[in-house]
Amino acid sequence: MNLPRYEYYASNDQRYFSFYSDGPNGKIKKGVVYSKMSNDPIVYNLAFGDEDPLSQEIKDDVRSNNHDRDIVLATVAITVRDFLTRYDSYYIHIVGSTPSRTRLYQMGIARLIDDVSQDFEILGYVNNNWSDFKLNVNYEAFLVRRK
Amino acid sequence: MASKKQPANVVKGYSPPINGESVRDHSNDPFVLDKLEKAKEFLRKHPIPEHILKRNN
Repeated sequence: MNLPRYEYYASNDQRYFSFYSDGPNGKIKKGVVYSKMSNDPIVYNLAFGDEDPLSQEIKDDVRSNNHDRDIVLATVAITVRDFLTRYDSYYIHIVGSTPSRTRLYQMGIARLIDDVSQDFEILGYVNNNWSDFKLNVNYEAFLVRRK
Repeated sequence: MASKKQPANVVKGYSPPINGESVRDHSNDPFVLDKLEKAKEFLRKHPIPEHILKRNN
C-alpha cells in the first residue's frame, strides 16, 4: 500500500477514523466508521462519508469533487488494514450506498489487489454468490478479512 | 509536463494513524445506522458460505 494517501486520525479503539481531503473545494473532513453487524462470524460494516460541518454527522449524499478520489480511496484502504490488524479475525463488510459508490469501492480494491491479496482475503458478492474477488467483475458487496 | 502539486497532508508508505480521543464516535449518526441496518439485512439474506468460513479456521 504505497499509494499516496492522507494523514489520518484514529480513535483509541480504531473503530473511527478521520482525515481531511484537500483540493479545489477546500479541506473536507471525512469519516470512516466500523459498526458491528454480526456476532457469528464477527462482521463489521464500513461506513464512509463527509462530516457535515454543522451537525458533525457523517453523510454521503454530497459529492466533494475535490479531484482526489484515488488518494481518498487509498486512505480508506489504510483504515481497513489498521482495523483488521487490531481485529484480525473479523470480517469487514463493504457496500456503497448507491451502485456507483459500490463501483468506486471496487475500483479502489482493484488498484490494491496485487498489494494486499497475500495478507487479506477479499470476497465479492455477485449472482447470489460470495466468491474470491476477481478483476472486471461488477460486485454488489465485499467482505475483507486477514488471512 | 509539470506534475500536479499534492496537498501537504498527502503521504506515501505506511505510517500509523494519529491516535486520540478527538476522533468523534459516529456510530449513532443516522447515515451510519441506516447503512448498518441495510448491511445486516443484506448479510442475513446472503450469509457467508460455510466453506469460506471454514477455510480460515
